[in-house]
Amino acid sequence: MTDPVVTFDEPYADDLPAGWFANNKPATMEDLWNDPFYIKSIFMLTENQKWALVIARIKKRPNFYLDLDYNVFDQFGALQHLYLKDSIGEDIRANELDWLYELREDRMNELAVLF
Amino acid sequence: MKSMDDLVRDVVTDFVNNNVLFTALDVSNKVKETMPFVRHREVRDVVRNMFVSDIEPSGYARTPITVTLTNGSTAEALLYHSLVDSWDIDNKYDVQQREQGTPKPVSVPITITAPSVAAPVSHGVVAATVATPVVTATAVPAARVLWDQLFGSVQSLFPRK
Repeated sequence: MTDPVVTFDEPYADDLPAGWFANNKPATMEDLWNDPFYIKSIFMLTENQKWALVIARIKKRPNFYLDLDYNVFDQFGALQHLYLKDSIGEDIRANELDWLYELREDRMNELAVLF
Repeated sequence: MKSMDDLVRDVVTDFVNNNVLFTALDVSNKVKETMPFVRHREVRDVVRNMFVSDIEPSGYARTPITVTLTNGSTAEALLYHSLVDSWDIDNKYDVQQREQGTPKPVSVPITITAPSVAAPVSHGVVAATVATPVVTATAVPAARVLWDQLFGSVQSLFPRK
């Protein structure tokens, strides 16, 4: 008997979108890891950029899974709400942007210690 | 009758609503299906002017890309794309699209044959039927349609004899 295939969400994958550089070129997770100082803070993004960033990230994660207090969402369910930009979509967006914000802050602090 | 600006606006709105990645050349080629003799330069300027007012608020961005011209040289063009597609421009706007040219209006040869006319009768003698010569001319059907739309209701200053 073979083991069941277990798949995991990979929010750290190198090619996943992570934001924009100051010159508005798109940045990936690899860029965020190597050059977090050159990537715009989440607070500097426009509303359209925030929606696009989260949608693009989740579109590239077939195993996306999010457990909010009131429900769990897979990739398809999350994208539906994100495209509608409804209140659940805003929750999903906020969750993802918070995660990205903290990751960037942590990485900048790590590099600041190194240099 | 729509003006070129209106037509460009319609094409761009259609592209944006369908999340299509496009350059001004794509818009120009689409517009030329209706207005064959419109200049790409004019279309490009209208598209660029629409960016801030119409395209960007719809969640679009523009990115300079390298395109190959028909003579083999390369040039830089602005690609208009959904922000969501920012990380996939190379996949979604592939090499083939970057090598497209501008279609030229095609001249279609048509043959105009006048009906046979019997020569006038004189002195009770019937002349043989004379076949008139075949006239070959070239025409651009789309241009003709456009011309008719523009000037169809206006009397010509130089009526045919």
